[in-house]
Amino acid sequence: MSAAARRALLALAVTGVGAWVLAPIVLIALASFTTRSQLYAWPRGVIPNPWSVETLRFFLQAQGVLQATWHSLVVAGLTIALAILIGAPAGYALSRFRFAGREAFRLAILGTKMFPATILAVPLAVSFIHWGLYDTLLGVAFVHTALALPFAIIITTSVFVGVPFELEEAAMTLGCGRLQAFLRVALPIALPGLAAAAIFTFVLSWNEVFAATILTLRTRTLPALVMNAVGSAGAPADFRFAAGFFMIVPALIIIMVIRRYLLTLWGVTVR
Amino acid sequence: MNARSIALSLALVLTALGAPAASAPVQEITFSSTQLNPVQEQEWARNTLLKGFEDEAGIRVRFVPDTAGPFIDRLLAEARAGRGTVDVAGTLHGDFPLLAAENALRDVAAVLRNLEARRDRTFIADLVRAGNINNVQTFVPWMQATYLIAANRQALAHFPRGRNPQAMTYDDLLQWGENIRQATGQRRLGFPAGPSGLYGRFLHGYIYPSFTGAQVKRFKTADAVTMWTYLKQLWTVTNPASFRYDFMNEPLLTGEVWVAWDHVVRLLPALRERPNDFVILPSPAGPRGRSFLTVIAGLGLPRNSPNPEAAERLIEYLTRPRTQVTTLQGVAFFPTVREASGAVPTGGLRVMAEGVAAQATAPDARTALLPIGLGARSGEFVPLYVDTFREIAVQGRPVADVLATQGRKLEDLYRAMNAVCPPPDPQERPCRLE
Repeated sequence: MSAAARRALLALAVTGVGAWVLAPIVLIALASFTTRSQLYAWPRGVIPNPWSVETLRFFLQAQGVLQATWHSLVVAGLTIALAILIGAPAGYALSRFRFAGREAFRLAILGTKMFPATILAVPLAVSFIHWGLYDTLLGVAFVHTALALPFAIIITTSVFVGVPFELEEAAMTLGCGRLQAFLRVALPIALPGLAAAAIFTFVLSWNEVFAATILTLRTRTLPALVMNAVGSAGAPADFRFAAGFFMIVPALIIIMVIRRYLLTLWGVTVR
Repeated sequence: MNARSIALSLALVLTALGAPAASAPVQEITFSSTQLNPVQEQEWARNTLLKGFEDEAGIRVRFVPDTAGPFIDRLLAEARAGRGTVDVAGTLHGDFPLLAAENALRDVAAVLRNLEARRDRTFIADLVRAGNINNVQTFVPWMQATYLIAANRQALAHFPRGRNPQAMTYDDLLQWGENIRQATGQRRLGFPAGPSGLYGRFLHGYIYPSFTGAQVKRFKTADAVTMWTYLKQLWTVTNPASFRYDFMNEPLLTGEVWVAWDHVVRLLPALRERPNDFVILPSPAGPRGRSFLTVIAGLGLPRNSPNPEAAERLIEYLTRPRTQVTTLQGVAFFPTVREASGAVPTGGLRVMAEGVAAQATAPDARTALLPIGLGARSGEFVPLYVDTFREIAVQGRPVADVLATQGRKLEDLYRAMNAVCPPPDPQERPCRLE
């Protein structure tokens, strides 16, 4: 195969994958700017005519949407902080040290994924009521952290495996302590990987409905508020599209920010 | 880590810890409900229905709509923890036995007596009776609903000649679908057989009792075989896209479907959008009468409610005849007190109200109630009927075989939960199949 053909094939594949991800988002975005009467016209065009922010405005003004968005951001932020704080040291330990029960520990991490949250719902809520965590954002963040940790640990383990231990040793010969070597050498190199773990954690927390619904009344997160109203219970198509758009856009922006901020701050690039 | 990121995380932690501590200056009660959940209904409930109560009583109501799973889990958790946040719980009557079994609710018999002592409202006796579980009154009837047929006016021209749409039989429906198909070349009967559609209700509450006289008891009798043979034919004139319809108002509005069966609330948006284009017809009658489901929503008082007196005031407000008419106009749930039925709404709702009355007062009408007493396994009931439908009508498996296997599962379910047959079946515990 010639180089040109290979490049064309690659471009085709990239376009295909890109379209696979982007097409639904674009369609939802277009539909959320369409008026209701047009959505129910048959046949229906793809491009809104005229453009309308009527449904989106209804959504923004609906009680609790802005507050719930803020709650979602706080929960996601807390979850990322907790998951990295707990997950990164665990991942580091798994990648650097051989200790008794290491394999068992790795399996046990995945074991937490075996229990569907539905079964744990009632006992979890009872415990949270007793501990005063019920209906608090911190409580929801704890549950999201528990859900995100297995993947956070697995991702960070493989990240630290890729950071040569020799570099830390070199730092230690130059006067760093173990902790300093980790903080000043291993951590900055591992940051792109940690950013990936953070993005993953963010997406998980942003989309999580079940725990957020059971454990909150006043402090609902956005998906708990929105999915009930437009997903399971059903709603006219225009609200579904508006809600979908409203769920996607902040997430996209935040994922971009995490990537940019974390990566450019330390001047490293993702390969 | 630099100072900025540390400050950012600290700020996040502080707001998270601080947020729930903020306390309201006025009294606030929490009203958790599985009803009025769709987004527009939520907004209506907050801005119209509950606003009236807030202005009058000076009590703020936090309305928390949920799906049934989290709703029940929350009430059970609060009952077990001995500490509650929910003051009023509103849901379908089928959820109450589960809550009553865990002792999560207060007996509302006294509340009901106080309400009737006001002499401005008379609760419909059947609805009150549905809330009586082992001599404990678990709920005050709040709203009721049913399912029926909406048809595009263009379709009426194709209704079988010499027959009356207001007294439609299942044979008429089949012929109607066939006539439409011949005239337009399209299959334009529609059912909500999508993932969140309510087609299962049609199976167990409408067509089964209309053909066999029972929802559960005669699941695998010869009458049931006749019914399934009929249903297979009906699907040859039904729009195949029915498998993705959840709410029939949308295909009715687009014109993909001309004749649709669904829950009143799920048909109403079409009538509100274009009230002159649609008619509402009673559900069809079969050899054993015109069976239809009555759905009852009730209001219960959780045992650990932090504000029981304010909660009772909210129940008084919601069951007031004037509020019940507002509810009918707002979300098409029908009143549970006799005094409210006199008020005549207008437009699409009037069409709907007439259809509901025509169905309820038909000479061959038979009321079916949602099955209760299946406890934690309540969720298995409807899928049994839908699976039976899939196997027979979609996969084309032999009717008798499928009914035998599915019938066994149904009987096992009732035996395991020691549950009583749902009306119009005979009162029998556990329910056994013929």
